[in-house]
Amino acid sequence: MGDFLGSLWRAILGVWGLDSSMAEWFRDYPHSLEISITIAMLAGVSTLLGNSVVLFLNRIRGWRFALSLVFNGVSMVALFVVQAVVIALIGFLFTGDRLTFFQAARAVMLATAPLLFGFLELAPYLGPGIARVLQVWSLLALWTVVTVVYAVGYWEALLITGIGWAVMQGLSWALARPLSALGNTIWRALSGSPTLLTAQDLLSGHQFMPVEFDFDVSAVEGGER
Amino acid sequence: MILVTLLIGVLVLVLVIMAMGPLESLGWWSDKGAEKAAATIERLREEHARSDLRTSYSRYVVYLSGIGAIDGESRPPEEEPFVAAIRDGVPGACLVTDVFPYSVSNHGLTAQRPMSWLWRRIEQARFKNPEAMLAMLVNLRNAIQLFVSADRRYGPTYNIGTAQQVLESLLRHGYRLGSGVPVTLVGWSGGAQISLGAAWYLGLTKIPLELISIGGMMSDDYGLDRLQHVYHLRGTKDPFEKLGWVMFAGRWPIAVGSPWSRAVKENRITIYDIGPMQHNVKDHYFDPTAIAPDGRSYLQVTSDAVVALLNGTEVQVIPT
Repeated sequence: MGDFLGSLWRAILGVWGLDSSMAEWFRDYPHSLEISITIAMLAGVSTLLGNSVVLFLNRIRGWRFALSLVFNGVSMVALFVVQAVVIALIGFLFTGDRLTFFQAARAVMLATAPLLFGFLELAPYLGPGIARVLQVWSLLALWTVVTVVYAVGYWEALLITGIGWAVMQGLSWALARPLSALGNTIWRALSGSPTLLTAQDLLSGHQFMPVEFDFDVSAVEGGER
Repeated sequence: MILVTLLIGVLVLVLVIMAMGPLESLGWWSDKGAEKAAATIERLREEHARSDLRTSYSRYVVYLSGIGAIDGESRPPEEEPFVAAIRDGVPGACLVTDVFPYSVSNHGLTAQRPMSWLWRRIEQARFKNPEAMLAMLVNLRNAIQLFVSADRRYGPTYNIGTAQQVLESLLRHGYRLGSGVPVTLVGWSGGAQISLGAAWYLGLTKIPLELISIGGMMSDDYGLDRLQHVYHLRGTKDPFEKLGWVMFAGRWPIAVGSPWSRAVKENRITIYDIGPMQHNVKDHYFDPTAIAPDGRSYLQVTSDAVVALLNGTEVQVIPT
């Protein structure tokens, strides 16, 4: 257990520091899959905490809160799986090396180590900026890991990572509508709430103020009261 | 290397503390905030329906303190003469000072809270030495709430809470909704942002609202759209006031369409450089020992300016 935790910490520090020698060590480490899964899970939980504001706004509590977090965790794992497939395909096209799905998944999940700081997205005002920095950091980490996994130069690895990122962006754009519909259906089932309330929705005051509520100021100004 | 690690550690610690900042207001909203706000509105409707709309005052002034406040009535000592000067300078107005701007439920830091023992100790230390380093913890804690109010994700819930506290305090002091009696929010430093945030919801009740900001750290909050006018008093040597222009992108000249730009375009923001004040420590807005060339103390200059704005007379600044 101690050895596993030590290796986990070493892997995390290596990814944070974009250390390619760590990636080489990791490639041959026997428990690398377990370590990458652990990192991805922790990164997922942290990122979900950072995004939990929507659950508070919608007043989701108790088991629904927990279930929403679990569902979001599953969504993140699904995202990692798709990203791993994309990287494996693009890597094959560029290098001719055929990575197994698990090798690609291991690389993608390892690169999520910067997202261990995902909970910092909660920080007021700075949070959205921190989230973007973490995404860029993760992309740089993936670039480093791809360099080692495919044993290619930095520029080729950058091309594989960059195209992989662009494909993911394209997919999320192309599938935005069906994904949104699916997300809404699952949200209704999990939260028991018909609509997803955003912070901007609260500005109308309708959550606590009846629509017909009004003060007849004009009557006062006209001296009627 | 050790120094770099230490610095990164401190940075992460500060960010972790910041990340916990919104939890109080989010938890309040999720737990009981909507019901509390609805109950307050219902009470306002009943009051409005049955009461005489006349009030004894021609104006209400709500003072929201800076980030050094511990509760509604426990402010840093240097602010007390300023509060007294407003009370004396605008006799027809009702001055409201019992709102703690940095809590959605108006619970001061020394009220029933898990860390209240710490805040009580700090309060005692500050009584003995107003410049005690420990007091910086109060500033840090409240500054985080300022950013919660300014954040588009958290502000809408946080500002419901503070607006509700302001409304309840106005009613306690005899304000009658629908009377058309104007309310001026006076926000010092972070209190200016809290005022802006609260103004959005206060505006729903059609209270005629103005804001006087003293060295205010303000964002381009939606509340600007509900204010008839913002008077921003600033010292030319105040770094925090300057920081506000940099930090809050909605106040940049290129932020066309932001509530701030809209207010500027509609001439609803007036800025006064009242003198070479700094934000705190010395030569600040409430410093009774720093003397301007015209013989007035900086405290007097600031309080004269606020009183002049409340009385509708000319603001006398220190030429720089």
